[in-house]
Amino acid sequence: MSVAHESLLSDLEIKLAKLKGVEEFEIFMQQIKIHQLNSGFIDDQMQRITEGIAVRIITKDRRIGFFSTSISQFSYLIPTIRDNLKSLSLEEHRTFIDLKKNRISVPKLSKQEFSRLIDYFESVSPNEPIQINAIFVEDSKIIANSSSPDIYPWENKRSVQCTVNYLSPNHPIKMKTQISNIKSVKEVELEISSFEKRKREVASGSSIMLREPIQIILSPRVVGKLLLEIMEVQEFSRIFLNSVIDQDLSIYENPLHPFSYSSASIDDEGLRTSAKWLFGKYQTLEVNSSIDPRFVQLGGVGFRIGENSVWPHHYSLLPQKRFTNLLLDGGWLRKDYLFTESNYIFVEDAEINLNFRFGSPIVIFQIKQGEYVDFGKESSVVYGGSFIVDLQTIFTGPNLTKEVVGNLHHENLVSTYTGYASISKEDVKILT
Amino acid sequence: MDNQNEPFDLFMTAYEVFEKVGGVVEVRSEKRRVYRLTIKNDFRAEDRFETDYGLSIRQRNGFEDNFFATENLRRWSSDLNAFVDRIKRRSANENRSSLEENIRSTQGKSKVGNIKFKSLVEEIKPLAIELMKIATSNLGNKFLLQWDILVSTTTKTFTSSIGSHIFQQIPTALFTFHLTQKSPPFSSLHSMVGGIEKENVSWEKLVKALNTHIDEANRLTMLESFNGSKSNLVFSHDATWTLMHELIGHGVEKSIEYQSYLDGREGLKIAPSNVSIIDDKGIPSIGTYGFDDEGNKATGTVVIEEGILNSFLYDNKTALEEGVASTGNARAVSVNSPPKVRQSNLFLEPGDFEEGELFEEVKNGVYIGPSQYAFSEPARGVVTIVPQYLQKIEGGELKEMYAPFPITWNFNEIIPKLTGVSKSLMNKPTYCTKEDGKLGVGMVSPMIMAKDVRFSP
Repeated sequence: MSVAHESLLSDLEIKLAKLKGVEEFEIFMQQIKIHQLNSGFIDDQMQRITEGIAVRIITKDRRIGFFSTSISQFSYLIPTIRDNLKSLSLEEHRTFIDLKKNRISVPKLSKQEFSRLIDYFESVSPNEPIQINAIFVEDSKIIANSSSPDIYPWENKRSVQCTVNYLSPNHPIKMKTQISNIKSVKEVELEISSFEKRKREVASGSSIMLREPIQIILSPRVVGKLLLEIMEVQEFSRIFLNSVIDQDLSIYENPLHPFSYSSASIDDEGLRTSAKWLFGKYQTLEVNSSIDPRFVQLGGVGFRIGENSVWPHHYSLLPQKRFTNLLLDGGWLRKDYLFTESNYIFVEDAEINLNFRFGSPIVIFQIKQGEYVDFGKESSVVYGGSFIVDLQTIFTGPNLTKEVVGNLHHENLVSTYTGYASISKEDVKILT
Repeated sequence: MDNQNEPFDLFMTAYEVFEKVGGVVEVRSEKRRVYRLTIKNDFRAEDRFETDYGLSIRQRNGFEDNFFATENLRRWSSDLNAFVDRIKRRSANENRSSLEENIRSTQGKSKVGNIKFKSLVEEIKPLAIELMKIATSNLGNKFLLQWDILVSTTTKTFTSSIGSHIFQQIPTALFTFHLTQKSPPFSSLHSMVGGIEKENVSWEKLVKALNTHIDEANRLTMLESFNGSKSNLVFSHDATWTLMHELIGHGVEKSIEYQSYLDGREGLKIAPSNVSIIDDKGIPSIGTYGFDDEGNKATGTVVIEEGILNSFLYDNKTALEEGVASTGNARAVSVNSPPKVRQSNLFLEPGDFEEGELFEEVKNGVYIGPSQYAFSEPARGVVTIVPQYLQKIEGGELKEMYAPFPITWNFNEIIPKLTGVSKSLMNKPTYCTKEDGKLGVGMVSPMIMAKDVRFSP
């Protein structure tokens, strides 16, 4: 955030303080720069600058209103608030919490390395059928509220993610790898060369579809997607987690994980975040939104989150309870032993849907990318096919590995740290 | 052209970029005013007001796209120059193809719908509160209730370096009902009412939709398990549309990157003669527009005519690849995203059967209620639908509810078995989510029946 942003913020603070009927206010200002480069079969680039302001106000009779605008429409903000003050309905007896002090976080990826990575991905020209997609994100936020004049906590982030796709001759994706939180060019070069090696191993094998039950190994990405789904469900059913997760497993939320893009030292309401234990040993903890002052001691968890968008359009969304980095701990299996099975399908990526049938939840998996391994033979690519597994089967210590792998889920910017899950063929029901 | 509200001349911007990097340069702008209201069964109503403006530039060099979008006009010029420099670097050694020569300039103005933003914003909240009172008095405390309301007005402009000028205004009003059981199996019901005309959110329409929900919700407590492997089926209007949208609609969205099971089957009979499907941008619904986001005039496209696959849906790029004209289906999620081939309003032609006749014809079977969610694999022609509920049909009459379960069919298992289509049509708005975001699409659909179909939990 620049001096110009701070000046805009203090200008807006004065205007809001003078606005008749406004008792308290909170301002959130954000700038996101996203640059996406496609190289290979498709050679496109996309750059997007999203910049805007969101204002939450509390009137004298404790009614709350939410107003947002892109930066180019700033002049309409105060008139819109003034025109709609009287029509606000939501009455809540709460107040904006004191912000502790100016909090400035330094991005872990330097500007120089960031530029070097852009140059690298601009120059890379993979041979077909490899397709490389790189996303560069710079995200800055600054927060102010009427309870803490002159304190503007702010946070900057810089991140590079990359996907390498191996396309079959007529171009559906055959194999892919995703690299999150890239820190250097060397790291990318190593991953691409390892991908090339894996590609050669499976390239000669045929492409198959899942047709009959078989031992399934779920990748940490898929287990992570599932973990996020069940954490959403437990929002409205407190007993749910106890019924589907083995009591020996633990779930932690750690917003201060040093190697994750999702980490945040302040939430979108300017409050300090802290690590939380969410589930373990016969007990679950409730995490409430920090916008309610009664729960501030649990640490800031109010973030703006978008639905169905690759990178959420933050500022226009209401802050709500959101996780940053979720860790699922307590698996017994060793990864090395897991992959010595003689015959299995490794599901690298899948669409998942939770379904409840008389209180017994099942999961529907639709394979997006997988690999069929038959001991002593060449591997084959698995593309397509759906299967069902009872949810309880997956979240047990004996079916999860000790080793956990981090994955950033782009759709909601939450990272999960989970192990691989093994499902025996008796527990797999094929849908197609 | 009516773009006096723009901060500067967008055509000149397009031309200036063209002078530097060539190709075809398209400039889009979008101004949106949005009001959102969420009301829950404790009558807590939350108001949100949004005002957005953004600009985007797409430079098309052969088959390559360079796309730049911003909401920050203060740094517009320097950000754009940096972007133009990148285009120069990346396209230094590229061979041009003939895309540029195949794009024609268009001019026009389109204003659809009759919603007045300010007056509807004032009227909609009392309606929502009254509807919540009706729902809570009928359903007690068994359900979590939430109404989500959106009123918006969008002004879009499109100009290009080859002389296109388009101005469009599209209003939208959507009222979504959500009902979720507070106890297992947490069944939920939801439906969306609305469109681009004020009549779509009239008191009568909203009360009718709510009463249907109350009736369904009261019967949800009697869910039984379905046992069987095959059945005769009657699809509700919503489920019929979902099946066709997922299986046919996504199958005909032409892509350079991905295959479809329908590729190469134009002119072949792929469905029974009673199936005709049109992608119709003119029917008033939330997928309606006068021009697509590449400036092509929006026209109706007959996708399936009496069972014969007639046409895919194209944007400029895929149309050129196939040697045909664009069908005007380039749609962008917002000004911040480049357009891609997407459906508009999918219209399924009605048939000869009265609704009651469908049930009598089926006699014994299952009625598939509105869909909860659905997804498809266009490469394989496979669809999975999870309905909100299923209902037994016995002696041609609807009986007890079945617990819903995911149903997966491939194309050949379901489409050839469609034996009857109803006369009655339903016109509803909905959202379609694909890859980079969700877009409003209109569902205009009859009910259908299918006989002797694989159907098991």
